[in-house]
Amino acid sequence: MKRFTSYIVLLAVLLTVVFACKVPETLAYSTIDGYIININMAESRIEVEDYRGYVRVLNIAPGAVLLIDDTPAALNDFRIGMEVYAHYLGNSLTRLESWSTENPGYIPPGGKVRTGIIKSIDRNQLILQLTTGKEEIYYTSPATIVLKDGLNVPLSTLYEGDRVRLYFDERDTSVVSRISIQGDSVRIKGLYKGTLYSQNSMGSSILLKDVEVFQNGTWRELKNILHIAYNRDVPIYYGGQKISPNNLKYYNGKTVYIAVKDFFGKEGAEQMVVKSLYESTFSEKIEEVNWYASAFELKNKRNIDFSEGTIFVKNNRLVDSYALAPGQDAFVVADGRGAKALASVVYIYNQDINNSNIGQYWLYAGKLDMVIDNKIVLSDFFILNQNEWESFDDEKELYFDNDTFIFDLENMERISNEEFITGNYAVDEDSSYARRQGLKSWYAYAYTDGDRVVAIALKKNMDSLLRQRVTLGTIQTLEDDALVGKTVILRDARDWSSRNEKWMEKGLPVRMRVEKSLLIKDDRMISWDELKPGDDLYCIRDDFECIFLLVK
Amino acid sequence: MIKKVTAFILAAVVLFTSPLHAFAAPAGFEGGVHNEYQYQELVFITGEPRIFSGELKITENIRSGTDKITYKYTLTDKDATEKTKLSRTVTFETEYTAKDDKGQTIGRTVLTRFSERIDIGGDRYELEDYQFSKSDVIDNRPASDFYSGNFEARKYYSINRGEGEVIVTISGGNVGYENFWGSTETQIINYYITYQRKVSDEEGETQNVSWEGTVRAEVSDSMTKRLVYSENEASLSSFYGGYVRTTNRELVSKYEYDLPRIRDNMPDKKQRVRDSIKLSESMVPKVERLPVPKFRDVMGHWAEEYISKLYSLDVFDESQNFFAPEAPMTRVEFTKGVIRACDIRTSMDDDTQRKSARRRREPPEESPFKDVSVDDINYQYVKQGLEKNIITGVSKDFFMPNASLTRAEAVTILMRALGFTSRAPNPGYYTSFSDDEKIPNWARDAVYVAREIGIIQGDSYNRFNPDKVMTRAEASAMLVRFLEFLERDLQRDYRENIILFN
Repeated sequence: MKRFTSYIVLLAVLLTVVFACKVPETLAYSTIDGYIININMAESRIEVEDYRGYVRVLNIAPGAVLLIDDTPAALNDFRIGMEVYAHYLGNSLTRLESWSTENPGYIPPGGKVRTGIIKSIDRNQLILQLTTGKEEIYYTSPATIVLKDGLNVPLSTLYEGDRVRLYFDERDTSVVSRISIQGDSVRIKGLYKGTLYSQNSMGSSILLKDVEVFQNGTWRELKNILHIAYNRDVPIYYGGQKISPNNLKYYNGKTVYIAVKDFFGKEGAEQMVVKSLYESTFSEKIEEVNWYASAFELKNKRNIDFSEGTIFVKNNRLVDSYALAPGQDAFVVADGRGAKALASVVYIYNQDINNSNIGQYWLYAGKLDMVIDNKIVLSDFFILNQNEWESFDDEKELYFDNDTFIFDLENMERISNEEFITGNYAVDEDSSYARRQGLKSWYAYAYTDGDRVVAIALKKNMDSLLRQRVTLGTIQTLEDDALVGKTVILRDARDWSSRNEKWMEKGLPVRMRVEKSLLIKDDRMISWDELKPGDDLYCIRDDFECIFLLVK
Repeated sequence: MIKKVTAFILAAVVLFTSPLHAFAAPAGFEGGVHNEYQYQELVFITGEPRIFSGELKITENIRSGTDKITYKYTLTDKDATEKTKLSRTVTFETEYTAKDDKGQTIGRTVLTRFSERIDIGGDRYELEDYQFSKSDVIDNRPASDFYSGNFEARKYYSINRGEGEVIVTISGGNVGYENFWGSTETQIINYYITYQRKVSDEEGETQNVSWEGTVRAEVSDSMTKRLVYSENEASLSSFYGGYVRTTNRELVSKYEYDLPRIRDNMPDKKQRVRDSIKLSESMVPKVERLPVPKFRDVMGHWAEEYISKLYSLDVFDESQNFFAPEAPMTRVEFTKGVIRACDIRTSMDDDTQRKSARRRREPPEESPFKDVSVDDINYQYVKQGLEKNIITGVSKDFFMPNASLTRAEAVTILMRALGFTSRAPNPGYYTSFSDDEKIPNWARDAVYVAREIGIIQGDSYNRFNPDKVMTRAEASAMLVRFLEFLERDLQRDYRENIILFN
């Protein structure tokens, strides 16, 4: 009996709870679905015709929730004819919802933008470091438009360390629709070393004394006193520790290393390291890199630590420590004592024809075996692989088109496709016609994008490729010498040594004649006039004679 | 001759402030730069780039809805071996039409006066006609004005009175912003130059010389205000140090040209010169010391720098010894902070000017919110915030001024002040925060945009935490980040991101 009573009580309690919950809900509000057929703004009233055809006049209650596409709206945002869903109590409307957007979540093309520095490039994957320091991964597609200095360029132009703006056409996509690459202003103008003398009270400029510049593989005198602008966002490190710009004055008298950029003709500091102990410099190959331990080992077995403050320079751009790779040749300025050393500056010499693994540019040399419509065949050809000519006892088919630059180095003129095809550049040397005429096939240097010839230079006799070497450098001056012709003088030059498998820096400027060379810039052949001091070059030269010159 | 850029503001009768002050806009449409001392620009009329520098006088006359500005240049090419002189006077008049219902202003600029004469060696180039049309739209948002304009022009020069003609067709656009913390205007100007001239050679035979060239000038005038900490050198002082507000103004310019190679004053038909020249000038920074904060409870706090900065700027005007950084920020304090930090004019400022008699005749003011009385010391901030659409009440009649501020509310107030909520996608989207479902509908647009422009980031779990109450320290950090956005991020976007990428 007792148990029965307790069941009854429990049931009663349950029923009470159920009804107590349900009753207010059913009484709370009524709902209506339908169309707005009239809006009275003055009296805050709307008329809604439900789907069955009944019309209800509702007054907007104070504090009523009005939503269009889940976004708060005002009464005058609603229009006659809109479909609505409403809650009401009596004649008082408490919630009104409607829908209007045709394309939910739509942003205009290019409406999402990310600005930052390219940290790494791997085919179609870009890792971007945002201004906030955060890293994000994005992808390019064949349809991605690439602009540099406002001009459309191939994606292979992109370097690690480039500052870019990525534009997206959709809100939640990671596929970039357009990339805008900062022009040459992203390149560092120089690496300076000097004694910190003072800073102005506003913390916007510093004065350095006894300033030296890193040039031709060593520090060279630049100026007695140098005034450099810097802003408070410039990272400053001392012994691997970041220091506040407010505290920079406590380091006056110390040696500083500064990466400097040009900002509208004025020099501005981009990164600064204050020397804490003693300087050692190395020009060596990096044997191993350990990013977890923030250290690398040089070929001379010297271990060097690096920190977030280390200035890494590659392709004349400031890069991240992840740009380091075993096998690279570098100039290292280390700060330390005894066996301990912390890198202040790591200047990576390596440069390739391709800026990243996006590019598929190659340089071929060989004998023209056949030239037919849009196609050439090279026999016994050579290909420049890792800065050395590699020979192939084979034939190579390459394709050309109307946009290919074909240059006759003997007559020093650009020739048309028809002239190339119909001319005696590739002949059957065994034929009686060729023997009678004394014709021989010509040789060619072909700069290609994959199998497509971008530019081809033709000459009657083959050069000795063994004598040729790859040289990197920056144009210091251009001279049209009355005696030898058009020349280029390079600073910070380095030659590839096959024996050492290493970039060997030149202590002196390198002078080359470019009268008979294939000059390439931005995927086209250019003339000597279009070269400018400051251009970075990748060249193949036979001593004084430049054979191939690529403006990077 | 003292070479000096003189700016006269002849605003004798300023009834209403013009919506666009000319204090950070490049002079004229020549791509030139200047500082207090000298002006310089590139002149291409001979087919070769020449840097002319000298004196620029700017006379500005601001009247109700009209802005009249006159530039008078007297320049020479200091590198030239021959005698050179450029004299130019141009007056532009801009009429502003306010579209109050849209919070926008339309500006129309016309050229009312021009004269120009360039003497280079024995040649004189005289401006015969100058057609010019320009129009801007200015979006007046509470914390900043954003504007964009286009212009088209054509200049006709005669060479030595009938020897030839140079026609310069100009087409360009400008973008800019202006707020208390900075203003930048960047112009991109394209010039297409055609040159035709009859030249007699030594044998007396007349020869027609003609060439075409293009020049693209990108010029930016930028002013920013920064807060720099200055330590007190003396130890025995009542304070350790304080903030200095510096006003920096810098003009930069980049000219890219494609011109014929000129040899012996004759253009080489086969060769072109393509290059670029950069110019820059900066003004001497103006410095202003700010009050020194002396709170007893903020030293060593992670937000000490932010709190001190805001106190120095009078954003927080507490005179107490304790700031209570970990206490919750209230809705009204944050509203007041935003209005003061952005120097948004409140009607209190107006009221103190037009006093007494007239006000007595007006009916007594009624507060829009039942819980904020007109006598409340923060009433004007709430009223102004509501009028400028920076804030709304929690309901029609209540603002709940002393309720704790949530992150969603703070971000919404800041984005409304910037007027950026309209940059959000069409409704019906999710933000990329992992707690997106917790973001209230009214805050979604603001949260989305604030993340896009880098004002906020997710926590380590990529959460936004919209309902989290903000402490006074956290609110201070967010406000300082907002001021940095107005001062630095906008400058970078309007200057570096345009000029260095194009």
